[in-house]
Amino acid sequence: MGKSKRSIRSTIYAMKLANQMAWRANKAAFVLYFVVTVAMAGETYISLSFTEYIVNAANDLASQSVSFRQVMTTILFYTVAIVFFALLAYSQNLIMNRLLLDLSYIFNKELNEKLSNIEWEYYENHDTFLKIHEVRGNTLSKIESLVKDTMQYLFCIPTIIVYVYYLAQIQIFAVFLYIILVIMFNLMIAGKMFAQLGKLWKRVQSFTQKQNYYFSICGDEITHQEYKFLRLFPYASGLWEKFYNEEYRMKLKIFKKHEITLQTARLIFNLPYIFMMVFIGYEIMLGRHEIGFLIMANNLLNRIIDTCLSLQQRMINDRVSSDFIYTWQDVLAFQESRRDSGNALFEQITFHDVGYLYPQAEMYALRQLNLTIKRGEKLAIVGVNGSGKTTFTNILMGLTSRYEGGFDRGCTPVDIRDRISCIIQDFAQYQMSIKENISCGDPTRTFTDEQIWHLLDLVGLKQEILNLPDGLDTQLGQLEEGIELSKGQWQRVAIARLLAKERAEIWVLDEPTAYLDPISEIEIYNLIYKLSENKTVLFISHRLGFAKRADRILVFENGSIRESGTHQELISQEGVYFELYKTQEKWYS
Amino acid sequence: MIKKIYKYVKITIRSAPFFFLGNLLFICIHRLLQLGMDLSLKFATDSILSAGTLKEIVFPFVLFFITMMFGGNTGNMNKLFITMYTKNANKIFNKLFMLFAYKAKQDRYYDSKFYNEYEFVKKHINNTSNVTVIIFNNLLSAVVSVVITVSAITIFNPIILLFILILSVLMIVINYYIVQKKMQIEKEYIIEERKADYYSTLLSDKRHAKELRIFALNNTFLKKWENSFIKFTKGKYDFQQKSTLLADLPGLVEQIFSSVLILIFLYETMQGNIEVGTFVLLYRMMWRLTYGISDIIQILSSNILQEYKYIEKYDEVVGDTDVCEVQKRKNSPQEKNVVCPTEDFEVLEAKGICYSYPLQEGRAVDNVDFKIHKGELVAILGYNGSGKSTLTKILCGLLEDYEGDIFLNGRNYKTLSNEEIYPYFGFGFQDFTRYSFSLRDNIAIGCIEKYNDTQEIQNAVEKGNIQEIINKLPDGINTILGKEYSKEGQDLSIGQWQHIILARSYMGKPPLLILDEPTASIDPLEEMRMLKDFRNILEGNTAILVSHRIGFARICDRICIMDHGKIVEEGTHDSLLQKQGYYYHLYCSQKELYEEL
Repeated sequence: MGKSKRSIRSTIYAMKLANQMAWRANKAAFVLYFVVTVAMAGETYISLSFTEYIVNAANDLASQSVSFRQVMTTILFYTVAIVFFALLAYSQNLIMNRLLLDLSYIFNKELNEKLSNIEWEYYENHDTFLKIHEVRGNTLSKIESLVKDTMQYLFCIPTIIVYVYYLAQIQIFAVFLYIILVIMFNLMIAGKMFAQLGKLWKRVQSFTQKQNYYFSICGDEITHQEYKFLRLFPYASGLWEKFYNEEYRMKLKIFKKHEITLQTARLIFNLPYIFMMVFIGYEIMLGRHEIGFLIMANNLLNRIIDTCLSLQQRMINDRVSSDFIYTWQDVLAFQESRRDSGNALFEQITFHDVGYLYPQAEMYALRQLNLTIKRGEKLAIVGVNGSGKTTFTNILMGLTSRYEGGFDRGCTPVDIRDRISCIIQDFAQYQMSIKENISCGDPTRTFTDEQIWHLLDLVGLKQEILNLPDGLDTQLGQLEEGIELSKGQWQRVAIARLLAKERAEIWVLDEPTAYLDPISEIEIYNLIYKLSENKTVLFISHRLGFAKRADRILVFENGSIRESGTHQELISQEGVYFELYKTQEKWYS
Repeated sequence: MIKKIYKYVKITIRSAPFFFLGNLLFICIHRLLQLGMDLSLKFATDSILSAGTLKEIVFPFVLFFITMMFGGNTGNMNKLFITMYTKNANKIFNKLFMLFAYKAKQDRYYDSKFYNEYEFVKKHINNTSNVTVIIFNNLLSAVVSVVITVSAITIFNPIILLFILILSVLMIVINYYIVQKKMQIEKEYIIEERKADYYSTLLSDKRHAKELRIFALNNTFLKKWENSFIKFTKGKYDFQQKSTLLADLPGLVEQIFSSVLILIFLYETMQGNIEVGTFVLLYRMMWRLTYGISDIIQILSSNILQEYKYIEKYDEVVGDTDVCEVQKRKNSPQEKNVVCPTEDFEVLEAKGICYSYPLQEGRAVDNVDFKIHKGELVAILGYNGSGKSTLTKILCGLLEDYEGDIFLNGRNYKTLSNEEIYPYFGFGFQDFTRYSFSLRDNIAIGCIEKYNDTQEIQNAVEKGNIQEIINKLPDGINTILGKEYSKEGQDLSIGQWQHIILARSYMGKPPLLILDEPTASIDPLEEMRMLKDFRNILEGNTAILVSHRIGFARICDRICIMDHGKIVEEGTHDSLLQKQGYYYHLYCSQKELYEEL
């Protein structure tokens, strides 16, 4: 009992949150919808009253106790009332459309704003990443259904008044018995039944996921080549079929359980219904009611059953929906990264015992790092995969504040973030025009075409882009049905993007030439050395040939800096760097 | 249109005829029971009005109760039957699709027109059986209901039929117009919707998260999102408001129409032509009739059209694949149809190969001749975009729309089936797939015919040198990789995956091994270790190494340099250096970097 009390409270709280959002979205529509929904209870009354009237009228006309003209007039009035309510229902739909539109706008806007400002780390953490995914996909529809359901619950109140009005005309005792049985059905049987089903459905989920995965092996443009080449059809389709069958076996199980409970409940539920009907028939025979009352009562009892069942269904749905609302609240509570201008003048930055552990990882990616980077230094960062190089730059670029250790006051990564420009290994390929792709380097400026051409010239793309019919406005990617660039061309665009942020004083380049051929690679590195002048440059690369020109080389191993110094110094040390370098050099001896 | 619907309905029905017939049977029972309910209510009314004792009115109510209990039941049984036959039908449609994808040429996947339709069909396969359900369950049920009620009503006054016809025509026209308009609007705004979704992704997905923060692109993308979102929702909203009115209009007309009908019935009652009980019966039938008609209209003018859209696309893409073949192919990894290489590999020769990608100008491979003998180790070098990967994919038979001829041991590819060619090759793809299978399976699929051969898998593990990786995993070689559907899956780094891909390509000791950029994400020390024992690993088999790094070209017997789709130089390391051409140029510029200052 305690558990269900808690969940009722939490469901109500979730409903409150959903309705608050709808209120914010469009106050007028929200209030209007509420008013109209409540007014629709009148439709119930009119409909029942009409049924009663016409059957009585038939009886009266048959016994000639009323004139046809009278009947016609009354029916006319009823029809007008019914049309009025139909128009009201129509306006209800219109208002709901508007409300949903504004709701989806405000929800998505706030969510986008939040997600673009939260700490980058939430995306690295598998659990929070899943939450984000869930909220994106599901929360809006759950909010909508919670709002609609709230309105329906409120609608029930005047409707129940109408029901009570009619029920009160029957013998109280019978009504009492009937209500007891209805409550018994709903609270005890239906509730348990739905809860059980919920658990079974979760198990079906895992089969559905597996089945979907094995089906997806047949491929998109990239994975298809191995699907075909490795002759994977029998393997994939066999496993797919296995999980598909499992899924259905579970579904059948659920159906069976569902059926048995439903039939038993149905029996219990319909017996009082029949007894009521017989009772009312008896009362009519005794002259206490007219025949129309019977037919109306039939409708009434059916409506009551429907209302109860739909209420029950809604409550279950809302309990499920409230989970999504809580996930949404969790995401809204994520920490945002500081949005200061980060414009501190940069002379040097010092790492004091900085360490970092990725979410859900067991080993530290960075361990007690101590380092000072001075303004204007050109640093090369080398090391095998997984040695902590990228983690180090992540912290330097202020992408996370969850590190151990610290920095000097006034010069933490967040302070200097605005001064940094970068190109990362998995750089973004925005599906926009070339000009926009490069302008993304510095959204605080508007770039003239000449400036963009200049950047393209620097990275060696000017001629190729000149040859395109739309030049700078050529769209890239499928979204605007643009062209596809090769990986090497994209890399040059990304470098141009780095250069676009002219006011940057610190450059971070993570494998900036991975997709370029050796000659272009040399070009780009020369360009960087030339343009960087007195900027601070950090670059990460496997190709050690370029590290030679750096002011200092940092050799990472297992999360800490193993060796540090100029090329000459490290060669004479005959340590890790020496070994790496000699290996590469050997290819050319 | 009718033909296509017929084709897919046939497949659906054939997949589980028993359940289908059960469904039809239950529909009829359901509707007859409804009739029974209405009749019992009529009897009840009449007996109440004319009877004296309680006993006389109980019987009709018992009848009412029975028909109601059973009538309510049929709904669920129907659901069961439908689920069963759609399950079987969907199984066939899904497998058919997988078979189609298996046989489809890789070349087509680079054609964005084909690919978009392919993705659309893939998403909506389970809709293919819906048409059958709509026609034979929903439509049939509504038709039976209408037939029963119309007969009941027109027995009393045939003029009513006229009213019904007028109303139906009105509703058909309106509904049809709404659906057409809706599809048109959707087409117009689908692009804006995709854009809005894309900008949302830019703001909130993992891949773009770093640069979003470093370059402070929040506001820029937010604005773009807002523009697209407002555009697309406004269009849809305006249409929604208009169509709501039109959709509700028939309802209004229906109300007025029913009032008129009621007056007619009342008149007949007054005249004594029908009794009160019959009036009640007619009244209830009238409501059933209006529901039935609006159901039919709805189904015919919109539901069928919408579901037909899916069938149409499915048929366009998959239509030519044979349903019978799906049944024939077995489901175990060692399929009897496929054989391991039938003879020893001696020589592969390609003459005059030309290839262009769909929708791309220029040739990716331009008139290339290539020959490789057993035991040779050839390197194909060149810049990104020079055609190296494309050439290798053609040589192994994956890309099929090339000009020119390829001969395997003297037999032209055009005379061989894909399943005869592929087993000769082991291929380490540059854009490899990381399957969320166990590590064992990830390796074993390299030669699916030897899937159960533990010896071969162990052999591949040794050659690929991945024992270290296995030792670090919680379940060893049986660990599931990747978190696609299991939280317990392990994520591995790119470097680790490259080792696994090597093992995958070594699996089964393929006569001809092709490795495309096998060390792209691997650091130099590791790279050297991987390639040091390469000759030994090959055990006398043949291999082609593709890369844009020239370091390891030295271990090869022969080097081919590709540029803009052509082979521009060919020879041994020393002979090419002497030539002082492309290779020399490349080599020297790299060497310079390692020169002591």
